[in-house]
Amino acid sequence: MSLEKTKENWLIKLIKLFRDYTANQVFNSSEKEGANPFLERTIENWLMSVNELGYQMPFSQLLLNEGYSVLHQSKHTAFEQGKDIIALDKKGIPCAFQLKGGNITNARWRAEVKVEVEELIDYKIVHPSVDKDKKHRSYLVTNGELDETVRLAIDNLNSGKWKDAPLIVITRGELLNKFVKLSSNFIPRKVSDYKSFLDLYFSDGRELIDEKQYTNFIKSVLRLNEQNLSKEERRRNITTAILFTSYIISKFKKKDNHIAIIQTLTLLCAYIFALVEKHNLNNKYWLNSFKILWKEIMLTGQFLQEEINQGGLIKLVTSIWDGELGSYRKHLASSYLFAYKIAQLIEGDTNWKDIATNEFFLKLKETLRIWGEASLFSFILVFLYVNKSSAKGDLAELFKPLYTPIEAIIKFNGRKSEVGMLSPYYNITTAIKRKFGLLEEPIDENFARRSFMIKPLIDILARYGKRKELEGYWREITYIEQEDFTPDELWRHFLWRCDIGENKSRFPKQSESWKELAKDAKKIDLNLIPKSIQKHSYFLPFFLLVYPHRINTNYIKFLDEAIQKVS
Amino acid sequence: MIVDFTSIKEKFHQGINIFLREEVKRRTPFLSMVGTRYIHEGNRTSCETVDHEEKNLDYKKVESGFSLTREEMSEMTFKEIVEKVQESAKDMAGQMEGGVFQTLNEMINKTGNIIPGNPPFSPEAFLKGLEMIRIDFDDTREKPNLPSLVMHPKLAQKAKEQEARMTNKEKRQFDKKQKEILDKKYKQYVARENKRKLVD
Repeated sequence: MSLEKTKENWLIKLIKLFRDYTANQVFNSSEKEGANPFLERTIENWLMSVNELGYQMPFSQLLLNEGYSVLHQSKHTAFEQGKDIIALDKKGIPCAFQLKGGNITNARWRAEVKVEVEELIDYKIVHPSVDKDKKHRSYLVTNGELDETVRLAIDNLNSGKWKDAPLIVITRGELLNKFVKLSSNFIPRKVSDYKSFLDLYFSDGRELIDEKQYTNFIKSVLRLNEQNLSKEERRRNITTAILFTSYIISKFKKKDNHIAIIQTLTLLCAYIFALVEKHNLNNKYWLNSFKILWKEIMLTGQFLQEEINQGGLIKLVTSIWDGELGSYRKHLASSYLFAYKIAQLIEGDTNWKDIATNEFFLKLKETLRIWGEASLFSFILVFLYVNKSSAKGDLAELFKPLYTPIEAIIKFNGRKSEVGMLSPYYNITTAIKRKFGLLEEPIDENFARRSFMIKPLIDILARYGKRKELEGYWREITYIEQEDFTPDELWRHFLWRCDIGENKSRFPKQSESWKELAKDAKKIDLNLIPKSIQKHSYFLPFFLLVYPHRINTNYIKFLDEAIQKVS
Repeated sequence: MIVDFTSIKEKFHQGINIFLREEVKRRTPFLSMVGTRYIHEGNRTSCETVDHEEKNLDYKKVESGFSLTREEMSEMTFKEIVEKVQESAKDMAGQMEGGVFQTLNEMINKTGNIIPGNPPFSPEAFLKGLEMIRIDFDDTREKPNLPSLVMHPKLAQKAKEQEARMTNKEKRQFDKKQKEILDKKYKQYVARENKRKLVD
């Protein structure tokens, strides 16, 4: 028996032993068959450590699971009249939820909460899907406890002033039970799943997530490759995946690590899309959950923008090493910001343009750097954004974000190069480690005279009629093999690594017809774009940023088209 | 079980794997010139040549191994392990480099790209070969990208002796002929390079 197997058996036995001893002692929920005290402890630890923003997303998912339709999630602005979440219950009764983090003491009740609760109860829900004349139910939710005096005060108000619309209170115990119950849907089949979850949960919240570890874990939670599950089971698995991801990203939330939050949620959305496409899931089983995730992604994008606006790129220096590493951090910040703004643009949010000012662009000046082919997508994002915004200015400057990466490919991966830039299969952390000799294993792959990104760049220049510029590059371009990878089935596009598919490489024609090139640059093969992406094209900027190895000319043309379609 | 040092063993294992790869690389000088490409995803690879001929690439398995008894393992030193790995590397390198030449031979026979008469190696045969192949330049005439010559050590020795025996006149003639060939090749190269452009 292998050591790993022995370990697994040992740990399974220990878990069982622990479960037997602690049943009925820790939580009520442990009474049920299959409860898991390790997991419960972890969830309790999570719930106690987050603020209201930290559990808003999983709470919304919880409501969905209980049959509510979630209509609105707060952006935590001043205009929301005490209503963090607006939902309709199963019977169509409007419900408004005010979320709080921590204990509500008498002093806090009087100074802060009571006023907001009054707004919650008194002000009608203003939402297109809610009948204004219908009375709504009001909920105060906290992951802490209420002081006895606060409880009494609420009881008094409920039987007096608020008699017609009493306040319903949900506190930590009830919340915990609900989260534990839902999370227990996932019973890890392998000890390694537990280990992955705990590793992710206890990871350093200041870094990026380990994509491989997270996607292996979430694939297991979603039971992606299992056949014969009912659609209802699939829906529950999505709920569970969202809850576990909420626990994992709480570390990032505590550190306001917006980039890692968006990165993780993008991976989760991608895996939900994989599930949807692979098992032909109808919208009713997943779309509302996706919407919750999407709102969280966009809310986090807004926080990132605010951080940058408040000088975050200057304040990011935390140690002497930021002279070297700061530029990589800035690159990530800029890249995620532009992905967010383009997502807003495609989604039709009029705020997409709000960074298109000289003042804001100054904050982003020289924040992009080339560290590998994966970094080049950010330049395309900048071009697409600036081109669409009114901040175009000088035309030569406008196309610079496209010339810079193409010149970099020619310089680093062209006929005179020896090693070349890292391919999109290597992420920013690997690029940094490589630069400073910190890799555990050297990369002996050679990237010279080939490129994954050159074809998308050529085609986008061709789409914008840049013949003269391409003519200048063409001789060097013909020396570089154009590579891409196509998964065999569309659902596999969303896998972090895909076992089944074809790697293709081809040399461009030495004498290429401009007419043909320009014509091909206009063609988009929709058969190679998953339906989920076609329907939710606003997700594409984040998807390609997090999955740079999926970038190909078809996706880039589709993205450009999606942007151009916005009036 | 007796307490073990698994993490150190894992590091050893990792290190020996790196060493094996480096050894294989060192022993495959011809293949190493081509450069290594990893296939990160998928189960198939195809490529289109400069002549736009599409080819599916087959993966070939290269393996080597050694077996040891528990008793042998118990007495094995680090140095002996390294030697074993070197043997494996030599074996694998032989399979890899041999495989390349086998494929090359097959292609050469298929395309008929052989010096007419298949003469033994000589300055004349070399020049004839040079005339038959395509030569690129690093932009200028002074920088031809000359091909690599792969030959058996005995033949290499013979070639050196042949060169040493050449008279000054023969050498001048050889250089002159080589220069003429390269001039011609440069013109062809320039013509080819001029075709690398966008047309209407």
